[in-house]
Amino acid sequence: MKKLTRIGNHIGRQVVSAILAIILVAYPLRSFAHPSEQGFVLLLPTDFYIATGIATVALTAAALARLPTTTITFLFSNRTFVGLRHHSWMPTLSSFCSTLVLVVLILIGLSGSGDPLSNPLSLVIWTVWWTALLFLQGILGDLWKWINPWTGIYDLCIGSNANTPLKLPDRLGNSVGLCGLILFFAFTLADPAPDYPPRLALVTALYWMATFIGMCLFGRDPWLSRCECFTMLFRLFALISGIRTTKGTCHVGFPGWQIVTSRKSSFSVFALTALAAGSFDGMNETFWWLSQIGVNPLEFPGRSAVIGQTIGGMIGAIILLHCLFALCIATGQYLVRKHTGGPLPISFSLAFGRLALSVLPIALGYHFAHYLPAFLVNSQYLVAATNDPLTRGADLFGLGVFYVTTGFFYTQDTVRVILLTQCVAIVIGHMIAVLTAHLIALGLYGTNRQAILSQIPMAVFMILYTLLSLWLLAAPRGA
Amino acid sequence: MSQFTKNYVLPTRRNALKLLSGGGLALAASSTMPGVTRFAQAQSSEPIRIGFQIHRTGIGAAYGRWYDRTTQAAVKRMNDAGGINGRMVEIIAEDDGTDPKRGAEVVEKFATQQQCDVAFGTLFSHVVIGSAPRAGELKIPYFVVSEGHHVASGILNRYTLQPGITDVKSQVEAMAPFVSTNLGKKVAMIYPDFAFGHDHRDYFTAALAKNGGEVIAQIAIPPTETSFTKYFPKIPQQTEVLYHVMVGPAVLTFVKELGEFFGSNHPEIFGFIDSLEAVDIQSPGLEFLEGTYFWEGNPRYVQNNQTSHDKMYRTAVGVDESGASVSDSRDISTYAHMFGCWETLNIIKAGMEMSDYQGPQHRSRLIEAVEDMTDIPLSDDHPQGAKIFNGKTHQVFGHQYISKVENGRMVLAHTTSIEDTFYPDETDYTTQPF
Repeated sequence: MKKLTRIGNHIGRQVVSAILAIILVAYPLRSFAHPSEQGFVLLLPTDFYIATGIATVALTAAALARLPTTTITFLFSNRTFVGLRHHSWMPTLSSFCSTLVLVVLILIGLSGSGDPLSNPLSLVIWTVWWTALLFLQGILGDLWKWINPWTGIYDLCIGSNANTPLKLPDRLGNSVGLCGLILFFAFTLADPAPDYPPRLALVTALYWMATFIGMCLFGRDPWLSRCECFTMLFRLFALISGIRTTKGTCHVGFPGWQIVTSRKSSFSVFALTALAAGSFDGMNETFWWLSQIGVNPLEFPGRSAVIGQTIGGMIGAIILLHCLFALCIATGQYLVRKHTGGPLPISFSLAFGRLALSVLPIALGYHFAHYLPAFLVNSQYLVAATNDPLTRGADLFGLGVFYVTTGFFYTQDTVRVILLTQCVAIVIGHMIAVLTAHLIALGLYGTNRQAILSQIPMAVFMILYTLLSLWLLAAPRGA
Repeated sequence: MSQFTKNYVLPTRRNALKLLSGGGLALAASSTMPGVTRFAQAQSSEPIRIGFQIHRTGIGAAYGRWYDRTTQAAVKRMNDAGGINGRMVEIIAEDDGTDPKRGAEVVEKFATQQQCDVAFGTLFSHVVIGSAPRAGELKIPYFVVSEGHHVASGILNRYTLQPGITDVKSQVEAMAPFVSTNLGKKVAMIYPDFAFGHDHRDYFTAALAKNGGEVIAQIAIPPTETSFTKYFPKIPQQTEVLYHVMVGPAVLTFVKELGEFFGSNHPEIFGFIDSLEAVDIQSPGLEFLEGTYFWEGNPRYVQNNQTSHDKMYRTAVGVDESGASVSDSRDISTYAHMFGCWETLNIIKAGMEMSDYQGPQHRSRLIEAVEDMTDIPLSDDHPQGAKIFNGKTHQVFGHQYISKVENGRMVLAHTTSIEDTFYPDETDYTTQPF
């Protein structure tokens, strides 16, 4: 009987929901969408900024065709310095501390405030870890090996060289990590409440446990390097940095030199997926996209109303980027073959695999630009949350009344500075991408002329991507 | 006289508590009625838990930030004065993502998991409409601060009330007498072509006709439009007043292009501050607004006749004389709307004290107490102005403000009477059983 009642209630709720949906569509809604910083952006000469950005990237590509090979190679060579020595237990300790911090954050996420801008879990995960740390990883090198929450506790409990019961099948390649990355982006883009503290705490805890179990079953390094999407992503971003430290030595070079020397061609799909999904995170807020899915941008119905469209758009963006990139590689190969008249020195798959990593600086530049406004606001909330982590009225650091401000979004001068900073980050990312792609092509094809020919379609791709990235910053947004 | 005033009957029940319905005495009540306080303390030392449904993320986040700030200030003031019925007030904030589905989940969480006494705070209409049925099912009082007409229209339920802020229908209709008398009889309207704009079109067109004016052009702008010059030639030559209610990121572009189109020779211009809420009126490109008029729910700039109540309210929330944050003069508040949180919380307090609210078992008593409220005088509890609450429609009615932009400031030009905002009742929630 109780079950019948429950079913009845469930049906009743569905009916109510259906009626509500009709009312929501038919009933006039009060709209409060106000201009925000985007209103000031629309008043700025964004067309000029976009044109300048495109011209800069185009000139970079053109200059490469003129510069002697030795000059470019010299630019990307690295210098070796004696680095700071550290004991092998130090990363273990720091990683273990990171685990402890994560556990505390998860507990606060489960039991603390349901307000994502007051709960430290949401702020640390999205503002510190995802926004700031991923960016710093691309600038300073591999910080993740110090602060990931798995290796420390694994080494202490299991042992870094412990035998594992299972071997990760080679045929899986990086597919598990790739699926993880896509699921992560689906969560951030399409889930109705990815920053809701209890939900985020649960997802974080489950992912942490799944990863730890995977490490125990298949081994620490195989699992982290092929199945744990964040270690994979962070390690890829570390390649963008001009700094690399290994066992007491520090290699310093032009940003991107590690991409040129890297042989991680099996990560090509992973890198392109990260770029495509990252770019879609921004596209999905534009008037253009909302119009495509039939949503009034001034009356956004909420994330829960567009879950399917968002996931579909993200998958579409990933597929489209792969197709376009493959087309660029194939066209480049065609131009080289037409020029040489003989067999190609390298296969399509090798060219695709190696050159795909050159998009990583674009992803980093876009990551910085896209998250900069949110970081400027949420970092203030982080300060407030640190002062009162349990939202019990504590004042641990004596901040007193602390007002978060967004005033910099409401004057034209500050909005201009923010927008130009974003534009510069994107253009620099694309310039480094053009340079690294050229250097990789030099290594692949052997001669400067063949490298230049192979890179003509790639240069067009980079210029168009500059246009897309800058347009995303300037476009009116409604979600 | 409207049907509202005809139907309005001063309640005879709880006349002994009637004075408390005047929010001005609400705070004093907790300290001057020791008997009530002692009784309440004897019943429970648990705090009164108010579930705060907040737009932390999503399209309403900018408003949510100021709603939060106002709410925290109001609750601090309450607790400093002894709380409600001797119990401290605790705000349980949950983000609804400005999403109706999540809004309903948040209300459910307030009622079933967090033992909240009431739910409060929602702004966006679609979230209110999505959440109110769940509040009704779970029988938790749901005090909204949304300005939408949905409460008074009768589509919600007895558990949903809007006692702290007036609704859009009354606001728009109350503008017609001033516009037709002072600005001109022939009005051209420019509005976004969706429900929000249609509200203004329909309410204002009808109200203006009643006041002897005429809307001679209705120019609907597609919501995705970001350039407006091509629409301006549609404004008839004989237009005396241009009524605009554009919203969204292209508003500043709209004003700039309007200025470029008209230059100094333009008709009178009237708009709703919703278009430029949280935006500095002195921003570059907005010079054209000099001499134009705006509806304001609460005047952003301190006026010559500032009340002590407004002064106290600004200080408590941390807002300066220009409506900006005291910590950052660039950070303009959503001053026209956020007073609704302050006033709604004080209504909840007054209602709980009137009904001797002790816990969820008294929720219906609380609603009846609020339904019985009538005159709400200007006070520290209600700094925006005096109001009249209609217990049948669960909607409050109050003064509206019309300001003129002079030397880059909005200067109060007219205050409507409360009666100007009345319209016939469209429902009677008191006939619904609990």
